[in-house]
Amino acid sequence: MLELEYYLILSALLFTTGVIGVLVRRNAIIIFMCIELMLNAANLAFVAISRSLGQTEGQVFVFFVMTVAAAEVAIGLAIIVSVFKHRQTINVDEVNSLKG
Amino acid sequence: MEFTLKTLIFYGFALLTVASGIVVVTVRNIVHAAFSLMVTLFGVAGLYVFLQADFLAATQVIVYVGGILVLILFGVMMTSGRLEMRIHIERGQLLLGAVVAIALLMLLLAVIANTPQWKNVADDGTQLQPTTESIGTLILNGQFLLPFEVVSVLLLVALIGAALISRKEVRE
Amino acid sequence: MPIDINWQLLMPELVIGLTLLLVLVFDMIDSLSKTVLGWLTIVGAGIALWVSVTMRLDSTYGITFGGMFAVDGFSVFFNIIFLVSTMLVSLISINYLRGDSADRRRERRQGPYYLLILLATLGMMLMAAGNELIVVFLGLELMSLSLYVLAGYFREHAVSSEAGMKYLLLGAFASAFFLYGIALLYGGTGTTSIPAIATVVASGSPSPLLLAGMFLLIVGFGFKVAIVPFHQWAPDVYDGAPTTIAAFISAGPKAAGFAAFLRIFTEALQHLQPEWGGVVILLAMLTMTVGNVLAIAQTNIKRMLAYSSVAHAGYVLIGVAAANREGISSAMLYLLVYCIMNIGAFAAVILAKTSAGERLTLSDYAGLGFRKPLLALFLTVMLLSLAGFPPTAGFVGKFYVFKSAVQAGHIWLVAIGAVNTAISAFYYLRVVVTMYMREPAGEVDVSPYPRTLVVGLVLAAIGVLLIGILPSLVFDAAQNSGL
Repeated sequence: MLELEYYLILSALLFTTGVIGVLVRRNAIIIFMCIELMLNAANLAFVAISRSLGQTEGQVFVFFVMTVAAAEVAIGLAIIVSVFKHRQTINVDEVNSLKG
Repeated sequence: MEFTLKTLIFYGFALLTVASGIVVVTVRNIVHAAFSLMVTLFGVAGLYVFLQADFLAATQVIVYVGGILVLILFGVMMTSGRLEMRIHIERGQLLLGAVVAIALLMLLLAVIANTPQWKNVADDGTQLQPTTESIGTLILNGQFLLPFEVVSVLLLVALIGAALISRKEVRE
Repeated sequence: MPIDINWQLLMPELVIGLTLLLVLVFDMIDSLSKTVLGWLTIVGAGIALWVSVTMRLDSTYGITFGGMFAVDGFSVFFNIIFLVSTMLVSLISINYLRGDSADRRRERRQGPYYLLILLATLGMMLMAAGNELIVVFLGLELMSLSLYVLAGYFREHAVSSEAGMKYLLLGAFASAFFLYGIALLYGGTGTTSIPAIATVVASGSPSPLLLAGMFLLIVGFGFKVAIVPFHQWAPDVYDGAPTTIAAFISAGPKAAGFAAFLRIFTEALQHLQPEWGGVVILLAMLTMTVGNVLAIAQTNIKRMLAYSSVAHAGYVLIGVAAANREGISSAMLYLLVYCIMNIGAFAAVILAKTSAGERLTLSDYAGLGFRKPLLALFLTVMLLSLAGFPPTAGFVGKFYVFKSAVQAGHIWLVAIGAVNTAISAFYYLRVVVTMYMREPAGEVDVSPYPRTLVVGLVLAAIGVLLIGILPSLVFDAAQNSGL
């Protein structure tokens, strides 16, 4: 017997892991990977919930989110690489021409 | 919860997913992080199979592992050159991140624990139904036509944006 | 079951889409001056604006695309805000992008600039009209992705690329929160359609999942519209991004964020108002106070405007917190006014530039009142409006927002808002005083005014004064457009 609860706990764990990663890591690409973890956690929740409701809508939602994630990564890496060309670093703390 | 082979496999996938997720966050070497992310993505695909989302499981492997992850690896190659990347984490930042995240996790777990009447989502005796057809119908013939169109525009943004930022300048 | 689509309701979006394609095609014709693309964008947005106004007047409302897309007074009013912002920003961009026209290579890249502005506008329109959380999410992403690229548009400048990266990382982080919030909302109610969620919420005691989802949505929105304590990205991004894009980001997208926020919280989660009302009040107080206090400390004018835009989000939240009909319409009116005056202020900053570059620090403005009296006058009008002095639009906006809060019984919130207005007057007037009271420090610099920038600034000034003197012009429209 596997209840929705287990999937949601798993998804919450994955989401929190991603949040910790974004807050703690300084490398832009790793931050990006952590954001992917968060998106995957949300997707997992969607699929589990739609399964427990007996709907397919949640799965369609996930399908769209995957497309969004792909677009986001394409643009994100383009920007990260262009920053790297200027700075030779993508450590977020060293990228500080803008004084915060 | 009785321990059948099925639950054992579920726990295996769950452990794999979370553990590799934690590795992504903690490991120093960025390439190791990327490969660990691959394991996480595969783990999530396995869980989709458990949830009888066969189409999404395949898409997860193709789009995430085959597309997004490869793109990330390209990014790693283009930005570091050297594979090792020592990352120094300040204690204050670590503390802040941990506090925020643990608070969030507590909140989520409390919420999940306090929500009554969870339905049984797996092992309810139904046969595995292929979902590809119903997803396709929902998108192209039914109510999800608008999001589908919007997503295509979104990909246009990705195309234009990535080209604008990374295209080589043509010399006059 | 094939769904029927009412194309008439989609007219503004279709016009923007068509403009998009035209810009895309004309961009490929090498012999064509790229300025044409800017004008094309303005004309397209203008036609869409005209269509929206007609729809508003004829009340051409309805729900289409299988219940996904809601055209009502609310979304049409927000369309007007977005299109006005897009037109003004395109207008000031034409000269701004040609600024260093010696650089032929940059000239070539103008096509994508206007394309992305149009795509961002389309995303905003979807956010305001989305009747289903997925449409709102996709609209948000469409807008955000375009803006990340636009913030990094000057890729030959390190600061611009860095602004793009910062915006991207925090924006994607916020999107993930937003998405997880939607997932929990879906779990709590079993649907993602906004009217259906409202029905479920009204029918019984809310599930804890729903409340957690709501909390995550607030965090996601907080980042997107730069509410304290999620505002840290704003000054850095505004500072590094091209100034026209800073104006754009501070205007339309902020309004779009609030549009989605209002639709989700005052329609879908209306019955949970006791739960989220307190949080919004707290955020409003924090946002106003922190934004204004930090703005005082800035010497860079772009960063000052960034913090002031954070503070203005706080004033809008006062209207949201009231959550009654007047509150929503006053927040909408405030957003319209804010967009016009903020773009105007940024246009004036661009116009004040010298041959050495933009005037960014406060001391650069010393004596501007004598050298460029007209420009200084217009900048003064914008700053007075931002500070909320009568007879400008800023005063009208604040007046209605405060009034709605009093009606809702939030006297303390109004008191804090009033104190904040006084604080903000200090740093806005400081610029005015510097322009008129202090002697210029350096050489006299007479450069001709770029034409479209002047037109943009004059239009913004006319808008600000017109709304200021005849507020009923737009307030009635806003009042009839509440949810």
